[in-house]
Amino acid sequence: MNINTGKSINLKHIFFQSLGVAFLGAVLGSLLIGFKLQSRGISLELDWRLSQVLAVAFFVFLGRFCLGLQQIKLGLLSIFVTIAVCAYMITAILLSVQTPESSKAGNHLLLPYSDMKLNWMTSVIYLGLFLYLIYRFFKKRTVLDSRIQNKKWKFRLNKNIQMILIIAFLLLLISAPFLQIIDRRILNILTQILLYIVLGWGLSIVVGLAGLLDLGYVAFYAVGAYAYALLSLHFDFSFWLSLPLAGLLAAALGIILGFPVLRLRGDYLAIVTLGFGEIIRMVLVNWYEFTGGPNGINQIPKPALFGYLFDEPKGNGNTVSEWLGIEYSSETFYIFMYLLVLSMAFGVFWFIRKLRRLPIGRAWEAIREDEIACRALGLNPTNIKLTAFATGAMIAGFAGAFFAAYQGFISPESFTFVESITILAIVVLGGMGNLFGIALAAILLIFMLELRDLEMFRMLALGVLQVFVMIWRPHGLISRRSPTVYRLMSTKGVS
Amino acid sequence: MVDINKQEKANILALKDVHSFYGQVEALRGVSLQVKAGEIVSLIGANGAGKTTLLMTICGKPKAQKGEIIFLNQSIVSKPTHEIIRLGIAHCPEGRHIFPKMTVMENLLMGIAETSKEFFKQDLKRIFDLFPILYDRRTQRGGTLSGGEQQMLAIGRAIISRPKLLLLDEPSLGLAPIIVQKIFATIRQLNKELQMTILLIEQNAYHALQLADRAYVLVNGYITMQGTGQELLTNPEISKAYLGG
Ligand SMILES: Nc1ncnc2c1ncn2[C@@H]1O[C@H](COP(=O)(O)OP(=O)(O)OP(=O)(O)O)[C@@H](O)[C@H]1O
Ligand SMILES: [Mg+2]
Repeated sequence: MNINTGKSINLKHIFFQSLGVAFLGAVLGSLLIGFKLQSRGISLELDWRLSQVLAVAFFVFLGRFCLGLQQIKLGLLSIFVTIAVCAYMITAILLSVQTPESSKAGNHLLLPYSDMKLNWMTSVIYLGLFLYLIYRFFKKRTVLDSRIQNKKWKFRLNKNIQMILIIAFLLLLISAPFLQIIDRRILNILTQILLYIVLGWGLSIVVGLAGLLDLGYVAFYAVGAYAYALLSLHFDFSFWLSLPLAGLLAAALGIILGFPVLRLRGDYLAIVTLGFGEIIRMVLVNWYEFTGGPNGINQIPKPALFGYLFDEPKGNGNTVSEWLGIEYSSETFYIFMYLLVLSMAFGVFWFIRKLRRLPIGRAWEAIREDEIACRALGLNPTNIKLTAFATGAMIAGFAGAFFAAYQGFISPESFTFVESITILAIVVLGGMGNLFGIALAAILLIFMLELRDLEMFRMLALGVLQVFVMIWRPHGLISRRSPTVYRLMSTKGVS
Repeated sequence: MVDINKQEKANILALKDVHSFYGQVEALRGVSLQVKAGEIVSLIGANGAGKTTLLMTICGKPKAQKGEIIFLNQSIVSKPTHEIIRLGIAHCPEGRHIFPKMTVMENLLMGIAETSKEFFKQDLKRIFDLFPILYDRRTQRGGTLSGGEQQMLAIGRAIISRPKLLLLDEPSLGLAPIIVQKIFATIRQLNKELQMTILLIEQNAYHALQLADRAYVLVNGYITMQGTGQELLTNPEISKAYLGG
């Protein structure tokens, strides 16, 4: 059909090739998912899941066929086919969501097989793919948009007014938990947001500044959390002693992991760190005696404030409520934890801003920009990357210790790959290195994830948000990079 | 210009029979050369002759498999790159390698190891005296500079740490003739006014030889000719092969 390619690729050829691949897919598919163990009375039987295997074969066929179409320059057609499939699947999923649980029979009419699970992963993939393909059709528009990106933010406030606004905002943040409208639930969301902001900022050192794609960041978070839990339960370490230790442990782990891994670049680094994150989780799940396995660790002590506990008063005067002379309420603890994570966020903010202006911070950015130049200037790339990795890990360790203390309970469930991805999404959406952008992204994302009404759709919404940001703000919400030197700029050469 | 005094000066850098490989490919096949204090030494050669490889080998990446590299009386063959640079070699790599998102000021600061403010000020002043244009552009991003400005920034960044030897890899790459003139004038100024020792690599043989106290010709990983700049300029073989007639 297509003469000028010189090869004998035509529709018929592609069709049969796809059939072959589909057959292979069906064979492999029946090995992998084709059978289901079913208990009937006393005996176990194997059921053949015909519809699943057929669905696999069909989709493999379709996929291979579309690839073939692209080869013979019928790519547009293949995009249409894919869009159609995506649209069909999305409709099916939406329909099955709307049908109440009871009418089981009717709700999967459109889905390829009856017990197809509706999970967020598939939904996000379908929706992402769908939107991306639609976007491909309108791609030309974004070329014009790129000019707007460069437009400077002209609106500037007077310095004094700026200061007043900032102070007012800080006061609002500090007094937030005491306000009437802030109830337990909202306070919890605010605390979560702040925790994710801290994590996002920590990861932004690694991904944003040093340019190292780390997909296993949650491992360091987990180490921090388990460090506090185990140290406090087994050795009676206080929170305030465990906090720096948790950070140090995570940083040490970062260095140990970093040594072999940081020679790798880009994709390889991402894959290895991903694997590392999973390994840590596996260790947590399987090292039963030490970590409590999948059940996790319970009854992690709450932090004390100057030795006063956040417990119900028992008359011996060692609780916070007695100390402060206020009525006991469980709320006090959550207010305290909110203020704690708030000050942690301030600390990390200040720390990163400071670091960025030191030679080491500049070296991180330089490594991301041009490794060859760094070498030529006598910098040691391995050391620089290691410090970035360790610093990021340390912040995750702090956040982990806080998390353990806040929840009072931890299990490997909290440290899955999805968690790493959520933090990474915050960093990427926020604009990689920009601290304000990351805070903004964390607010947006966590609010969305926490909204109960969105329950079913929250991961869908996350996917949509990602795609939209990618289209309209490809460099993140706030991509401005502020220079790290100001004061020296007035140095005038006399020539 | 044959300067008798310079012949007696100490070697800053000496390569003895240096061999260097990329995998199985031998890029340098026994190179020997010397750079003496206060000299400009040019190294010319065609594309792929191994010029860049030579500079990289001096900096330790790739490492010389065989032979000896002596810098200021110590062997540097087995040292890692960052240590070699710290000893006082500035390397201005081929293609400039500016940090595109960082400002001119930040680019310059990347070249300074010491962090004391006094050092900053003195060193920055020296660079801004040399390249006033960089002062005007100090808050601009490196990536938005013109090619000539980028080259000046690359040189400035390399010499801000007061190196004892400056390695320049094709500073005239991709620049308009008038800018090339300016860059070479700057190199001469660095040598004359700041007494900087320079090993210059160039495709632009005419300029490089005019500037050089001594020069080497590199062909396929071998040094085939050496002499003073003037000697090589007037050599008929050289003018046929590298000066276009
Ligand atoms: N990283 C590398 N891996 C393998 N071979 C390389 C590598 N770098 C350079 N070479 C080879 O080594 C030889 C010398 O290259 P080099 O870059 O030193 O040449 P050059 O003289 O600097 O050329 P040019 O004037 O074009 O910059 C070439 O044949 C090149 O293909
Ligand atoms: Mg070269």
